Amino acid sequence: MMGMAENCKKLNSDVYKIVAHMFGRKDQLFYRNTISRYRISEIDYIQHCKDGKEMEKIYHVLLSGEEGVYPHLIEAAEERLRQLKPKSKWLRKTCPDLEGWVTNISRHNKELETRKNDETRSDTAVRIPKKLEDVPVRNREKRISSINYSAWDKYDPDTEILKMELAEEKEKMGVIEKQKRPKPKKSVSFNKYPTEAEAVYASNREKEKGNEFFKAGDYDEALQCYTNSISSKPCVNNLNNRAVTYLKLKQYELALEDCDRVLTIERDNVKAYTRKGEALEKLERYQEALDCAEFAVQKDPNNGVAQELAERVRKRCENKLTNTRMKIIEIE
Amino acid sequence: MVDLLQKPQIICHTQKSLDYAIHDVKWIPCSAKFIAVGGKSNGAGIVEIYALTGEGVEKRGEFCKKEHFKCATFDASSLRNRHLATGDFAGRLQVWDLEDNLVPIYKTTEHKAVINAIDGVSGAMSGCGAPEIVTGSRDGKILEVLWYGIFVKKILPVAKFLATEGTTGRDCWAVAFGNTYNNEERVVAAGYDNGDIKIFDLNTMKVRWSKCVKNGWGFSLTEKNIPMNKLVATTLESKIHCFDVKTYHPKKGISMCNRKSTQFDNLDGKTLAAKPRDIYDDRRFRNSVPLEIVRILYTISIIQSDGWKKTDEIPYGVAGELTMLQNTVVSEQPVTSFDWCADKMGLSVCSSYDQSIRVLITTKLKYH
Repeated sequence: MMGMAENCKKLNSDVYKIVAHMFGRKDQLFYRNTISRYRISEIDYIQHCKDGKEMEKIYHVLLSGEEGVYPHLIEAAEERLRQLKPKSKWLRKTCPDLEGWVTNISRHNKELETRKNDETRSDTAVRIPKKLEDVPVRNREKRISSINYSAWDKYDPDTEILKMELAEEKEKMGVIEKQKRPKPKKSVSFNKYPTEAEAVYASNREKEKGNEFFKAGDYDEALQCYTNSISSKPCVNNLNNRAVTYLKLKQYELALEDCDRVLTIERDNVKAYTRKGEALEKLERYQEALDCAEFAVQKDPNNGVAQELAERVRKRCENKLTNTRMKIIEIE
Repeated sequence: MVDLLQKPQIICHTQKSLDYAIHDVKWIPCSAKFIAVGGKSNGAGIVEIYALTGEGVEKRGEFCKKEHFKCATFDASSLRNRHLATGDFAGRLQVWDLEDNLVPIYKTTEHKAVINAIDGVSGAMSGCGAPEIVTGSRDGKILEVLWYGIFVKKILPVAKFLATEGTTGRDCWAVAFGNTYNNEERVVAAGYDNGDIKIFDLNTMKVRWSKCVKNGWGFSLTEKNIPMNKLVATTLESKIHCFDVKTYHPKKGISMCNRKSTQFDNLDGKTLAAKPRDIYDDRRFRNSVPLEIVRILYTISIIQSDGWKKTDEIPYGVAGELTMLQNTVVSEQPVTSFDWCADKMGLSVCSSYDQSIRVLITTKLKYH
């Protein structure tokens, strides 16, 4: 029993230290061991905890499930947090911008409802099923019956093997050909959508598709989707995303255009500046790149990407600077 | 590895108890409303419209019809006329205008048994071909209907897939459209209760691929409007199969990876809803006492994007791997249906056997 009490005290100080470093994540492993060792007394600790902030951190770590899922601990932590700090943001479980979204989408909804029309016409004709070319049934060569000795005399195994190999090759080539044939691309003619809501909807769907292709590394498809999205409704996000896709595809001029377009819409967009900086760097226009990078860093000092970009470009710029010597004049 | 502090959380935003058995819930596209379809205890089918408001959900309207409704979809109708296509227990496929719901805009009674699954395509997007609805029912038939709207009251189905004459068709449990990235291509995938999954190519009207997983329940194709990419199927005994249907090797067929949910035994898997990139929600329930529902999110990581293992120099698809992102118990009765909201990432609605609907929010999905 004494051991347990001592362990309790030790737990308090240890856990406190660790909780304090939580977001630094330095003592993850330590915390895990501590928790597993002193698990029995953890609930007591939670229930006797007096510090709201510490409680928040414990709750956050428990939720993330780093050291395992303890639903009873989570409940106890939530209870305690509610008692200690009822206004804590961790208790605020709703999506922070849900209300904003609801008003936004209701606006679109109203628009669609007022513009409802009675006829639904389809722009495209019904698909006519393609007549599949009849796969020519391969003439099964007549099997040589076992009593047909004269045929067997003429039979040559080597040529047969060659024939089989050729047939296989042909099949392989056929398959490869078929797969090399480029898939017919979606031919979309984006007529202007009659309602703003529809345009936004289509634009968002295409943008999401583009995002997924981008994450999977399929930049060509992503480009196609973003282009579709932009032709439905250009907006800052679409253009930014397409710019970075162009960067990946090494088409720097086009990336530059897109970034400029973003900047005409929204003058202070940090992402656009960083992307523009990267594009300019690849185009070897270092001075301009430096300007963009510095602007980005100024706007968002925590942006690692912008800072690295600025470093690289600055070095390049300095290489180009002529050596200027400073004259030292002694003043008497 | 999933960054542990960025693990998605599934939170129940609001909950509402209803007085009828709910069979399906769907979001109304481009709005903060959803519908719940089901059947009352007096035998009438009911469709109710709910809206998400500041405090919770409030009912905006309802209408009752003769038969219980089993499934519904908005996917075949355009955004300006958001018509609801429903399948009911008598095998009728009807399309309703939610505001003017005395008489259905379109009705067909080709099916003779309950319509188990319905899917629509190309309503809101252009360039994907004509809008269509496909239904699968217990009599083993799959029906595909061209959706032209009010003008054509009597329109015959465009395509039917039946069991061969003389044999009884197996129950069809799930249907899904896919590969609709341009005006010509379209496939329908269908799952039967004996575990058959068939993909019908509507262009050539032939079976493109078929596979038997031991027992079937439900599936979906990722992202209808892109060239067919992945098909995920769930079965009884809690197995999830993921097929890469993009590349078809003539000898080996389609590559597959599967995963058994190891946490719960005797689990029945149910249909999935796909939402941003390969994130599936999977509703399950435990057979042992006490019954609980668990919601599991899976993500499919694509090992190589154009992943082709070159065996014999013909590309062979790589199915990727399924990793579980999160699971939560949301209610004490099994979850009957689930739908992600297309307009807001992470927002979803689900219904369960305890006759209640819950609006759920899943956080941190954008990291995955």
